[in-house]
Amino acid sequence: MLICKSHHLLPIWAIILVTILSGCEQNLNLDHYKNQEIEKMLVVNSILNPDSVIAVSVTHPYFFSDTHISFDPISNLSVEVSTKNGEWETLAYDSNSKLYISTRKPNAGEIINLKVGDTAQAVNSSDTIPNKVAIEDVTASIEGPISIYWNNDYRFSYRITFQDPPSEDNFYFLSIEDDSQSDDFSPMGQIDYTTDYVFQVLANTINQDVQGWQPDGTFGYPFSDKGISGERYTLTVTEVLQSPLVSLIERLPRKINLYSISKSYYEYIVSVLSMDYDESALKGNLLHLGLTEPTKIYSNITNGAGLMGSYNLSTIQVDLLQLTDGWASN
Amino acid sequence: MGWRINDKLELTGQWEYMTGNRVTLALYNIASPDIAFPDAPFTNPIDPSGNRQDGIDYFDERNNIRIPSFHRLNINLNIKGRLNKKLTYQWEFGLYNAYCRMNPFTITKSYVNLDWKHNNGDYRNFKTLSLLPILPSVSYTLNF
Repeated sequence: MLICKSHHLLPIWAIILVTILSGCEQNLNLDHYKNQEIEKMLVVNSILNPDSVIAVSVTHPYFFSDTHISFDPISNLSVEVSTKNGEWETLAYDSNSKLYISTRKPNAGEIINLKVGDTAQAVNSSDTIPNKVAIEDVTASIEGPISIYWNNDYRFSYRITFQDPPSEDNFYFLSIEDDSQSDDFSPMGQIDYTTDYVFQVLANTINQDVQGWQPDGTFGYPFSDKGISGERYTLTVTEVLQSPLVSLIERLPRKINLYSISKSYYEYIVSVLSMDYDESALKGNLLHLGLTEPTKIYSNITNGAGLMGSYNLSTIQVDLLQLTDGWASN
Repeated sequence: MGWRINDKLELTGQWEYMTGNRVTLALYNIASPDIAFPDAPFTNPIDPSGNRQDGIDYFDERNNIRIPSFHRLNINLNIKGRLNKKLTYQWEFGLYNAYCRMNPFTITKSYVNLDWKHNNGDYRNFKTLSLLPILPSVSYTLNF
């Protein structure tokens, strides 16, 4: 009969545990998969808007495990954009911004064509600058102090109204940012986009194959006019402010940005969100483990990669406290 | 494969080999537009200090790489005996994955250090993810 005393079993269990729990990850060299064609490919990015001159960035991809500090711009290419009269303007390379820069700004509604390189396999793309959609009205209400994270939280509800142009597909991006000066004591709370219909439509689009993603980040989200086309629509977004020092806060300046974005820009952002590696996004985590099929990042660059997108910004500055008539108004 | 050493001892072994599955992995990264256009709207803009210049995944085609091959040896030693006329026993000592081959089931991209200003390239690697190294087992069976 095999007889083991308890203090003899301990090292055996330790060896078994260490063996089971260790060494699950190992480095892997995949250099033999390097592809010269991909390394020569041009990655063209250009985000246009009527307030800035046309600019184009051109780089190459890099192999993931190669030494890489930043994306080296390619500065010796022929980069051209179409002009209003159908001719082509050659952009000059600016070494400070590391971009090819035009002398003109695009106009709303204008179709901009882009061509990089002068061979038969030129990299090309085009996009239409969207029209500005103005924010017509902003109202807000306040609830608090209530218990959300702590016992003295305040919840502000923004109601942002705009008119969606009828008889066309429109795409937008909404963001709300702190607009305070550096000497203001004006904290910014957590913005929550999840309650509004248009952002739930976005969530449904992203959650088509794997559930779990919600628009709960802070930098803003895109949305389409699906379900609200042609309507005068009021977006509802909340901000939860956690501050025990509300008596010291005299202003809550906010900048509300409603971007009209092109369809290609919308498709790009949605595809990036679908690959979100955020901890709360189940699909992103499954992707990271290689357990689900990835979503290809959208690109509208022919013979290359990248994005040519455009936007037109409508912005409004408000003081949240003034809109809600102060802390004691609720 | 089995080897009956005598009436009481039996050694068995099983070796498996499979070529690795094909998987889809973005071997290359490309610059995301927010690197060149930081004022444009993005859901997760880059760090203004420029530390996140890793870009976004570029997928060339589906099933573009093959996971390293899978092989594993399992060994079992069986010891049989009799306690009395009615009772027989059997000890089984086993080693699953006897030579501790870390068979990968997937490949991931590892960002260990996101400080690109000091990145010398050694911090980003492809990594294999493996489960179940060598697993010893023991069992005792009493037949009556």
